[in-house]
Amino acid sequence: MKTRSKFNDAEFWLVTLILLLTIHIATAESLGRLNFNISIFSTRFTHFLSIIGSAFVVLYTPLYYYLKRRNPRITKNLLKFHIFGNTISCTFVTIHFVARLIRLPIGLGVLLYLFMLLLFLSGYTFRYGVLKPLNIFIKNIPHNNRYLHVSLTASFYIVFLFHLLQVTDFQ
Amino acid sequence: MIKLVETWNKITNSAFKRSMLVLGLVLLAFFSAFLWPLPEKVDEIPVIDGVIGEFEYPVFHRIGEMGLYLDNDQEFGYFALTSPGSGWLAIGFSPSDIHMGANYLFFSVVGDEVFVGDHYGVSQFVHESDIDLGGSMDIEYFSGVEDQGSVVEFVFRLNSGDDFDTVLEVGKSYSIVVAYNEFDDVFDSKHTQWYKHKISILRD
Repeated sequence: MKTRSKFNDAEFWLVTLILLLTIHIATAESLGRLNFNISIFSTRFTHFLSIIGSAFVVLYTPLYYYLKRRNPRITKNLLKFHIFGNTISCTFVTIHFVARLIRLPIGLGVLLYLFMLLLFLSGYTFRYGVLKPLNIFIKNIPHNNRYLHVSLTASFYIVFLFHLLQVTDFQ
Repeated sequence: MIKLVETWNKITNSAFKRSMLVLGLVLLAFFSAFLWPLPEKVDEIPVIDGVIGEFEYPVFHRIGEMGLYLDNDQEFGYFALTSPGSGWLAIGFSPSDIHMGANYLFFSVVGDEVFVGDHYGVSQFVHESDIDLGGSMDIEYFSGVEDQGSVVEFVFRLNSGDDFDTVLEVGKSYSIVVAYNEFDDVFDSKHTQWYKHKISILRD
């Protein structure tokens, strides 16, 4: 069976475009050339972005796993929503992370962001096979290993729980 | 030789080209960020709104987990202090022996309100309000925001005329202590962490 080239895949290019925009914005922000210092109701705009992004990832991921098993016919649409939603969420959290990194210490947020980044990268490389050329040198590289993505998701939730306890001043 | 050619063919297949294209675009996205113009430095006094803008303060000190931003003219010092906690945060100027002789400025952000205290270190372990000691509260303006940490901005007269305040002179350096409480907003509660540091009052 002939597989469709990723060069002609609109989804791949759209996700890649979001990835490129995220890298561009995060770099410009860390260099002090882009500024998101806007306050809304005494809360930073970037904090709002991170809440929206984190809430989507945390709520939609289990919902996605549940719905795709309950109704396999809509898996394709659920997956598209999972991909675009989580990619945009990752962009939102990145903007917040960089804004915070240059302003205040971040504690467990670093670890949480790292897991989110690894989740995105493992999902991206797994779905679009951008590390495929390395297959001739290394066997079972991450994009072939779906379990990496799933286990990272589990780790993400553990760190998220501790991060939530930290930011809500749980004693 | 044939194996080598096969390997080369595998490398230059469309998957390889796609990966190289993505890598190239990633590098382009990264380096093109440097093309954004740097914001112009605004030679104005900081805005005391609880939000620290880019280039708002000319000096920044990372002091442990806390941050201190500074600016001054001939008459006033403009400060912004950050802590990772939600409780009080404070700066003390010129302590001679632990608390002794230090001019402490305390802040705590509770919701939309900021509470302040102008204190003086009366002994090694005790500080009291300037007002209780017969002095005055000399923090001119202040503002703060609590968002996964605390940020306060305030204006303090370099020479307030109060016997319980340190006189800060332009061009001179002063030892300071900064401290914060992670959760408690009551100024009498013990600090979670404190740090010693040295700052200079800028020549205008």
